[in-house]
Amino acid sequence: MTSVILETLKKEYKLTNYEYSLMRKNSKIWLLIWTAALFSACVRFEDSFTDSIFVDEPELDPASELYPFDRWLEENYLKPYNLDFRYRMQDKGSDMDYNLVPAKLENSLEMAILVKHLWFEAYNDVAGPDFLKQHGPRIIHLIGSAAYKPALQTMVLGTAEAGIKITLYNCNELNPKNIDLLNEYYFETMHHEFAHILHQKKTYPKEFETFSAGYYDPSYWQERTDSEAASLGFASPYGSSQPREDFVEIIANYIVKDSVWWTDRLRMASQSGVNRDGQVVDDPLDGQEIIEAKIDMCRKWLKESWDLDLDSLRRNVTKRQLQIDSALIEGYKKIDEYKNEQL
Amino acid sequence: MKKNRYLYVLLSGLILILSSCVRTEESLFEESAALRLNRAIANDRKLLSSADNGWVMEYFPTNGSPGFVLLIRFDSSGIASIAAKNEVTPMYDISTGTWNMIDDSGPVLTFDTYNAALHVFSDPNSGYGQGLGIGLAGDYEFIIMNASETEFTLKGKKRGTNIRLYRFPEKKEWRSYFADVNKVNALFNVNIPYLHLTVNGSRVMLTGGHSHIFNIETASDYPVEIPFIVTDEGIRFAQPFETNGVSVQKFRLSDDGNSLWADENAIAKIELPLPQEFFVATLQTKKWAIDTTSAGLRGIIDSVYAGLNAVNRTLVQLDFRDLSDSVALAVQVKSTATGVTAIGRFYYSVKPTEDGIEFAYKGTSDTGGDVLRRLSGFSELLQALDATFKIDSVNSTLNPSVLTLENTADTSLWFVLKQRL
Repeated sequence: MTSVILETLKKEYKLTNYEYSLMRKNSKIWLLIWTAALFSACVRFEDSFTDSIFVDEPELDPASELYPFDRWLEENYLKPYNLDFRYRMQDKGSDMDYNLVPAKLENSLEMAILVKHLWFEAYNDVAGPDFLKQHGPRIIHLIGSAAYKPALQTMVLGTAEAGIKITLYNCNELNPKNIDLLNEYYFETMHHEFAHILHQKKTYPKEFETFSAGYYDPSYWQERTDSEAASLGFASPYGSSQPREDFVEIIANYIVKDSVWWTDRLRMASQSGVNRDGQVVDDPLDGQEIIEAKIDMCRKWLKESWDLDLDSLRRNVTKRQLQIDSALIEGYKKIDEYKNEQL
Repeated sequence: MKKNRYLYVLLSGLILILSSCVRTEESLFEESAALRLNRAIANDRKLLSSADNGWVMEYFPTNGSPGFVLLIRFDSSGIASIAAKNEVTPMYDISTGTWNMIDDSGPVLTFDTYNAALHVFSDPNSGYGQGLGIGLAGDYEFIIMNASETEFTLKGKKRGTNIRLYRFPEKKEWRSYFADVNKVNALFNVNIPYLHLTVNGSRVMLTGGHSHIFNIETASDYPVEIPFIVTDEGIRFAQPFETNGVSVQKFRLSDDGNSLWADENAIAKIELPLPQEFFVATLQTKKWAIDTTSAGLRGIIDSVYAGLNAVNRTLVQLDFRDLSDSVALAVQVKSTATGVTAIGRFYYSVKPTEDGIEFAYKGTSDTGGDVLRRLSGFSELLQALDATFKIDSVNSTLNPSVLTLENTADTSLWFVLKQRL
């Protein structure tokens, strides 16, 4: 077997008889070297930003009604971020456990413009243009409806899979005029899911899990009110489900919620929680102190692990939220420009 | 050893034969599976977009749901226009979204951006069907089972429902299609209590037609449910139904619009109830008041008026109503002094026949009836109604609200009944 491989190498690489005889003498060593070389060649192909990973995508058809939008997505997502912005739904690309519907086309256009403006460009401004190229998702999948869990009376707003794909649900309810809903349904979700991607690459400090240890409840978190969750040191009830959700909820809420919201949340946290029945639930924790400590830890971790300034990102997002109308006008204008290529 | 040698030879021969079988295996197809799939997808795409006036889709969200007709035009630029007018899209509307043919373990037709007319059947937030989170649970991705220039057979990808897609006539207006559907739908208005399915002379009762799911009482413990779809020509059951040795599925509206026929000879047909059956069935929810009468009966009613006047009462209404176990002639009277009304009830058994209806007086058991029956004119009235009547609808066969009843033994005695709530 070894000799067959060596014969092949001799022919393929036109080795001299001397080289060939050396190899035959030390055949096992050479085999190891060639194997290592082959593997190192594979490593060289990893994570190139010049070639798309979506090599099987069909070419865009200028006759298609969707051509201007698809071209804009190509220029604004596929080329710069190697990202497939999937607005045309396929069941096989979604969670088959739910009853779902596709996003409305007009909402997909708005969502694509808003995600670029409020999310990608915010990270670009603060962390530099290469940050999301390296760490950002490779697929964003839009779903029109929420993913309901009727038995639990909850709905999923977004998911992140393997640090690659972010799915945004409920896109048919998109209303760019309502910042609170935009954040609640989509952008808080995106920051939430992206924080998962980041901590899956570099784990967060283990000490984080000690702040609210013993108060996480993966089964009944949805029964907790905002007040109960805050008094236990969580930014939201969902954050009280498990430590990793707590960690990303702190980051996501810190980025998108304004100071009025945070003042109110910290006031809630400093008092005893009130449950759904209006009863006061006592606990020994100082929720405000815990939340502030958690924010500090997240801030430090983002800076040290990712060289990302959480406060700068928050300020940038806040500023961008005030520019939504002009971003949409500009985005539509750019999409329309691709109609010229159809003529 | 010799024996073993034969065995070796035999085994060697077998190996040669088997391996030679492998070598002679012929490729059944000239192209690879992937190429054939791509070709099928391209062909389906071309066929679908070739129908300028679109296609009719007979859509069932699930196997237990009623069907809905949709008209779909597949634009070659990737846009599908879908027209609907039904329970979930009450006003005629055309909505648009994208369509595509994809490879998903076979050619699959998908509507991959939201199109209100279709996705309302899948939307977990629609408020229809099983409520929030589930909705009507229908499909919007369809596996293509068969395709031709005139018809596609599809299967819902998640629910597995059978869905037909056939070419819509070139010259027909979309809106007029739904007007024709409405004509058939008239047979399923909520006022019609039931329909008859007659197959080879044997009749079964179909209830629940207004929900487009028939309930059929059978010999078994549970009624059979048959979802169906209403088209411009008639109806089609989701699945064939076998009764009296005949399997039926598709029915066409008769020329007079009053029945549905499975075939030209009407061996199997769906019909409205007779007026007498309609009268009896609707007594559970409605009253039938005696309106105009023949001169003969008028004389009897005038005697009733005279009898009531003698005790300072006046007649407000005479009507038939249902009292769960029998039909009552309810006589509503009012005191001329105090204005207080009271009712006396006289019971009849009623029996619809092929030609009319038989009324048989059974007596009274309430105080009001006991008082009234002693007054002048009442015994004549009760006796005049204790007869067999020929019954006809005056205004509508689909929703009769005015009926004439003519005494079969004395045609000079007749009266008109009008439906009251």
